[in-house]
Amino acid sequence: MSPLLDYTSFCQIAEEQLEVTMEQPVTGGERLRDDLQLDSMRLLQLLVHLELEHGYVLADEKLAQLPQMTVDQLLQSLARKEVV
Amino acid sequence: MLYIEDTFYTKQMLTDHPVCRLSWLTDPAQTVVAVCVKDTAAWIAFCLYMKQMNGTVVPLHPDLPEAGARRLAEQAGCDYLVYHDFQQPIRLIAAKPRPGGLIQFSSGTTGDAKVIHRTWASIDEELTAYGQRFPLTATTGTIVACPTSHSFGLICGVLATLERGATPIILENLSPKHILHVCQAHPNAILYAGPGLVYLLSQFKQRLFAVMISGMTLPTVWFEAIHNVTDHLLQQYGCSEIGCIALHPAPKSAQAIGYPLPHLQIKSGTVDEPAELMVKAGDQWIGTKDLMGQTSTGELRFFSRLDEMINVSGLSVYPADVEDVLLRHDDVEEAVVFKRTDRLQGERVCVQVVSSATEDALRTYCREQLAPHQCPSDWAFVPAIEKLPNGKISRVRLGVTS
Repeated sequence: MSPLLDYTSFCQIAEEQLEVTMEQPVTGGERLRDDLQLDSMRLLQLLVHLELEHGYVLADEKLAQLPQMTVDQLLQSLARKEVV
Repeated sequence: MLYIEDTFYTKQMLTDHPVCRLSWLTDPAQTVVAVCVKDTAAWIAFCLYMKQMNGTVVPLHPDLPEAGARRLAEQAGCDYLVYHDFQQPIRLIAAKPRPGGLIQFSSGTTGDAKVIHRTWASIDEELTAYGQRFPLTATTGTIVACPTSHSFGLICGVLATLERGATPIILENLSPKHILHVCQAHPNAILYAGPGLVYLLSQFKQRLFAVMISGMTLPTVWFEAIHNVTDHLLQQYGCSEIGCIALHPAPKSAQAIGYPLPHLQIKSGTVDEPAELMVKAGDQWIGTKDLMGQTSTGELRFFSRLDEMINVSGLSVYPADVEDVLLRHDDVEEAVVFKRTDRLQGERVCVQVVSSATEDALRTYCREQLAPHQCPSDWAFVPAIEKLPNGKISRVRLGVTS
């Protein structure tokens, strides 16, 4: 299944929300914590923004793995928020 | 007794925990043990046991790598380091015997980490005073969504709740949605969490019954966002040497620090003439490096970190005064004021703003609202203000790095 977000949109959202500059081009293999230097608060902030502003959610059970995830793994794990 | 996530532990279950019968710990009262574990139940059981036996514990953040844990344990003069396994501790060479208590490290945001030792007696005194000033009913439970390896979570979140006979709910999963779910399941409990996390929670717009925040440099935007979703917003202030110093039952702004706890003697300035807040611990006065003024009702108001106050040719400028004016401008989202050294005036006022307005427009606006020495001379328009991982802003750091 193709991810809901492409690299360009992901980078744009992350840069705007997290005060970071992503080294271009992002190829998907970058690890969120070790390569992109996103600490746990920044990652939470990104998730809250993705959910509330863009409607993409990461299941809670995957949250513990988030810091170790790569960009690809995160994008593959995001699902469309169900509208209740 | 307490919950860890949704598992309930009775007092008996904690006192019967294997960590209260460790073969290597023959004389707890004479032993200093650093603990770095992810098993919250084991940590809490051990901490309560050591408190009862008058031993000394050094809680370390569970995510520390072993080398880091060992370095801190050695710095604190520990006999043992428990690194994820209570049965196989690492033996260290202890520096000196200490009276039983809790050893912590100051956060180090303003300098090098310092070893701070507090006796259990001083912590018990704080717990009693904290209970007297706690403004909600004694049966109010506490949702602890912050590490119990730090004093805010451990002393004020867990121990103070047990002291007043209520139930702490300690969370290990700090996902915002999970925390909100727990808040819904315990609608009469107060949430203890770091300011950054509470701000994220506030964006979901779910009503919260009560929240305790701690951290006076909370940006105004954050404070208001949290205030808007909370029935009872409380604020507390303290430092590692003394613990909680003041508690506010209903702060109107982030600068309203609270009323001093009854067991402490304090000295500070007035609202017109603020001075460094000094607190007496034992027979020693400790300077907090925070510039505060006390109102006629006894409320402490925060003005600035002593090292953040800006001295422009002998005139004091408090960053918060300038920030407040800027934040009232419709086109300013965030503003942080800090200092740089200035060849002519000693120091000069600098600002980072997140704004769609032009520099000219904001300079004009400031001239209309502020005294000339308060008007920023260096302007930087940024997409966002740099914050430390705990959500705080270091004005000292901005002055050096930006």
